[in-house]
Amino acid sequence: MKVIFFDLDGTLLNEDSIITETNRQCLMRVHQKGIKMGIASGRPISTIEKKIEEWGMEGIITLAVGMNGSHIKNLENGTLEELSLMPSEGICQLFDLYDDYPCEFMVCDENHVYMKDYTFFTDWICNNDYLTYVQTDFTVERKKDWPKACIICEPERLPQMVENYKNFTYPDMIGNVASDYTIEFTHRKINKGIGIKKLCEEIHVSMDEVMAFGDANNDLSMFEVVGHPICMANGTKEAKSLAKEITKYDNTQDGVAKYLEEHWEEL
Amino acid sequence: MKKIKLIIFDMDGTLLTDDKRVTEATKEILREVKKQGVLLGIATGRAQFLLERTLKEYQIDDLFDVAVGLNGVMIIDRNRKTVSYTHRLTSEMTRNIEKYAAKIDANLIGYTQTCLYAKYDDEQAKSSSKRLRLPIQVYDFTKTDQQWDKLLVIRSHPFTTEEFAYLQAMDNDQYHGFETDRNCFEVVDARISKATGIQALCEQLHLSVDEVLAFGDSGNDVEMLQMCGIGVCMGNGNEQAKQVADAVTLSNEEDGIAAYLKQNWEILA
Repeated sequence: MKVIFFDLDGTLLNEDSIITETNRQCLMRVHQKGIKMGIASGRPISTIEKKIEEWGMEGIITLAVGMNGSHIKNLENGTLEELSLMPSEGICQLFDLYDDYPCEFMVCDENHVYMKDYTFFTDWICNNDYLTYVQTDFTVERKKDWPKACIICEPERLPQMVENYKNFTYPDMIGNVASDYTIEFTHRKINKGIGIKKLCEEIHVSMDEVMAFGDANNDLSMFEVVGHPICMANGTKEAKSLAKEITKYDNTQDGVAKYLEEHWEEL
Repeated sequence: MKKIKLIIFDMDGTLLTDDKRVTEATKEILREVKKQGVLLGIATGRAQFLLERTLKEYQIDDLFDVAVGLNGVMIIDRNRKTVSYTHRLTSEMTRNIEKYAAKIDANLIGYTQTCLYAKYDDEQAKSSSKRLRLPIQVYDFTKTDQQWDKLLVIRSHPFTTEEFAYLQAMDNDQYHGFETDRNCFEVVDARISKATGIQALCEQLHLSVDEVLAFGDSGNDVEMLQMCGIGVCMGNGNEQAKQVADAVTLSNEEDGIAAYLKQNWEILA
């Protein structure tokens, strides 16, 4: 194996949204084997970079696909590439579609999260993703293009929001249920798979030498392109069916570390 | 006797004054201890996120290297932003605890750092959700297949003595339950304590518990004060804690931590 990519939430991170010491140490040993590693996440690249720094893994995790594939960066040679952004026209349609619904609307870039009210979610994103909150009624923001937009609601209301998504007709944007209380929107032309492919082309690695761990529906595109797609035991039905293998243990039980240790010789 | 390489502090009544502050004198002495290369840690009931928030609020987030959170369930490396867990309640234990809660018509709450899960979305769930700043998800614990750090059996009106006695029957060799309030009963794995948390932390840091100095004041600090190389009880501590401690210092209102460390500087590595 030349490269291993990891999704964050539900995969490398546990239910407390933090990396365990066991997972971290396992990745250090993977590095010693000479294997490159990357993160493929819905989070911004800036967030991924900060986490890598906190974990003491600069130079060890060197590839990043962020914003579900809108942003990619080879951390070893510095610049962020912005692939497709969602046009303001689509953002406006999305905003108007959910305007009367009991939910929050959010857009973000590499440094800020834009929301009308400061809620639990805002607090969480600011602390966990290291973004700065900008209070807005979206008059300015709706005229811009964005890498990521979200609908946030109470968990019981999620089915209602998903139902409403059926009324969304803008062609270039798709929504994915990202958690029990969020739907994430991205440009149809980008996804984690495309992001990974681009980065691997840049470092001259072929897809059959790439392994990827994921759990959710925004990982399906990644599973489709890599040679060794591995789904977490806690993954969705769709993710499990598309993967080549399923881990024995879930993300709350160091599933990634345990899988890698079991398959150590084959890496 | 071994030199001290790690100092652990309980928070309420120990590191903090009664009005929830860390005095300048305490901050000063901790900075000096840190310069010596001694590790500093917190033993708390809080989980990682809440602890980070608390440390930032008190402006002491640059002082502590490690923490034992959730009173022993969670080992936190603050420098690496990683965690490990000692013992969590299994899904089987959880389903059993749910039966106890159901019998006395109480709510059952469990939480991770991303979400609060409650049997009912009642007043208690809402106020916990606000305090922890987590969204609430109504959850059927009878069907759980997850592990839980701890569970709260909680209700709007207080439990009667009979009901507490009934809940106390949950205290066996598998899990340990205790009253945290008149309407709240907390359940964790029987092996959980600040002491076992510190043992796990020491293993991770390749230290012996003899190289640890602990400061505490009450109830759940007793085991930790007994186990650590040196256990120091605050002047405001309760009788049991004072008895098991190796030394008693001034109270949390009188900079007891600074007083002890200044007088005993030679014990530090």
